[in-house]
Amino acid sequence: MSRRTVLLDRVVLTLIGLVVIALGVAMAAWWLAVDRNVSIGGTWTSRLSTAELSEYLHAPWWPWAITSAGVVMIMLGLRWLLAHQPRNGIDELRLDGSGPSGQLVAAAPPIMAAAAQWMTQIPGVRSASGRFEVDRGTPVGRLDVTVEPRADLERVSAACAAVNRDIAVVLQRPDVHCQVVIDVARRGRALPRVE
Amino acid sequence: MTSSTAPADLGPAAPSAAAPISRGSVARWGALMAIALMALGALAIEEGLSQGGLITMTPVVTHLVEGLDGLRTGGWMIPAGLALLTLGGWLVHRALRPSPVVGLALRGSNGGFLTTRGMGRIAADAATDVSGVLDASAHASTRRVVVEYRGTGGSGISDQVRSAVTARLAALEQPPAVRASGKENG
Repeated sequence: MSRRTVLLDRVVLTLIGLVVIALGVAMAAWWLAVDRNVSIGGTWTSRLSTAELSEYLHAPWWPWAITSAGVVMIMLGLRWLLAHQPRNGIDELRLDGSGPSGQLVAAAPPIMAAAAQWMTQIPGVRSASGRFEVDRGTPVGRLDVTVEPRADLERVSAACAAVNRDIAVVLQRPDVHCQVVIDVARRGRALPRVE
Repeated sequence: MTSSTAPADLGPAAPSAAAPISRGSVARWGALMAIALMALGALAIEEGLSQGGLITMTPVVTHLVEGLDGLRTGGWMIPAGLALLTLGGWLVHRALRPSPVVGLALRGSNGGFLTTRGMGRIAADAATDVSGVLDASAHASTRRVVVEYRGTGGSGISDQVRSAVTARLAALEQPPAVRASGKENG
């Protein structure tokens, strides 16, 4: 999901919230002005009339206009919904040495798969998976690691630093950040007694 | 990949990414609004086809607009208005609230973050190790961990639980405050 989609979600949700607030205020104001004769400015009638609007609903152009609007709304809605699919992944990373004569490109998934595989060898780490993605505009090598509840966090922390350095050495791309997100298994398994 | 946890001095490490955040809430609202927009589109098409005489159904938009004609004020408008105000305020709050951080950095990890859910599980596990604790549960945020346990009723168990959890989470760069409360078995 891109930052643009998140921004759109926030803006539209804010607008809907403001419209709902305005409706609430309008209802209360109408009741106060008509039933309680409170002076709040403007002209308030005791009953709502939609006659003027009904004229538009029976105009000859209305069926065409509303059908077209409906088609556009469905297309926009579908595009908006599809924008929520998680597809921030990066498949290829351009490396130092790329230029007009050719590109030096690294396949991203195998790098993170190797990093994840290495992490699973750390005592206390149950599973790991990794991918490159764009997070808040920054390319990030992200590893999702699950550890046992009794895992030695100091050791896991050292492993994070090591794998981070390895990724940096492999890529030689200072703009690529690294993130290891460590979750904990709900129930622990026995850890080896002797290492 | 490196064969030990001690990194070789081969160059600078990659910079640490920002702490993980949860975008789940806003994304769910976004998906919901997208579906609602498509539903409105379907209603609009139904309206157009009905009005155009291509299908024999009640044109919903026209029906709704004409249904509102003649609406009068009533006492119900105050609770309804207040409910709408509350709902609107809540929606705006949901929209503008920053995405919550769901992980705390591990000291010296350079990019390693323990999730708040993981912190809670470690805290519960640490609490059950304390003598006199029968079972425990915990939930955590980036600021505090709250542990609830069921114990045998010995003295000072809360302090021991707090110490045990604090010790287990000491690897965090900024360990959260730990609260422990328990009740006796029985």
